[in-house]
Amino acid sequence: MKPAGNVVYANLDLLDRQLRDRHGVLCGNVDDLELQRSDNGDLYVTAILAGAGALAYRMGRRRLGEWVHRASQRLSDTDADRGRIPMELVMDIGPAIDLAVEADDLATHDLERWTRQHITDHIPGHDRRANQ
Amino acid sequence: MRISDLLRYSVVSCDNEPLGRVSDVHIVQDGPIVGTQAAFRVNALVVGKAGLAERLGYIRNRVRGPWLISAMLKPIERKASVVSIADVAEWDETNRVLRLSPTTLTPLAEHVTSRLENRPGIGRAHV
Repeated sequence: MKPAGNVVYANLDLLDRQLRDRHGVLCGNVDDLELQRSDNGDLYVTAILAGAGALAYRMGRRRLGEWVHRASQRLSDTDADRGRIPMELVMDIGPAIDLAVEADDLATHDLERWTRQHITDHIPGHDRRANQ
Repeated sequence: MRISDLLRYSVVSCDNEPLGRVSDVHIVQDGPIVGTQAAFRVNALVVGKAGLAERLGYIRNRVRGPWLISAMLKPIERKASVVSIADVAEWDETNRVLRLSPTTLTPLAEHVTSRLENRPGIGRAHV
C-alpha cells in the first residue's frame, strides 16, 4: 500500500478548503468531490464540487441539494455546470486550493450576482456609495 | 458517486464483523495524465472514529499541545485503521456497506509514517 505519488486525505486536506481563482480572488470552498470509476476498476477524483447545492447534499440533504443545484443552474446564463471544477484545473493544493479559472466563471456568487442584476441595480440610488 | 457518499459507508470484515465507518479517504496523485497533471486516485480508506480529534488537528501529528488535550485525543487515533481500496471485495450500495476480503488492517499512525516518507510537498500545510 506504499504510494508513489503525491498524497492527500480528502476530508483533511481537500474538503472545506478555500478556493482561489487564477488572480488569487477567493471564490468559494470545496464542498464535495466527484468520483468516477475507470475501466480497470480504480476510483478517481474527477472534479471539485462547490456551491450551496453540493454542500447541502454532503450534509445529508440530498433532495434539497439537488433542488438548490437546479435553481442555481437556472440563475446562470450557460448550460454548463459551473459548480463543477475539473481536477485538471487545480494548480496547487496548500492552505488554499489554487485554480486555473476566473471567479466569475464559477457558481459560487451566482445568487449575489443575480440579485444585483435583477433587483439591486433597479432600485433608485443604487449607484450611490454608502458614505455619500 | 461523490466523496460524501463514500464517507457514509460502513466497513465490515469478510466475517461480517463491523469495523466502523469510513472517516477519510486517502488519495494518491499517480493516475494517468489529465490535462497537465496526473489524476488523483483513491488509494485507501481510513476506517474508524477520528472525527472530532481530526477537526481539532490532533490526528496525524498536526497539533501536539496542550499535552492534556493531546493525551485525551490520542487514543481516538489508535482506533482508526487504514484499508486499501483494493481489499474491498464487495460494494453494497443499497445498505452502504463495504465488505473486505481477508486482509490485515493497517493502524492509521503506521500509515501516516509511510505517507510522510513519500510526501514531496502537497497537501499538508502545517507539518
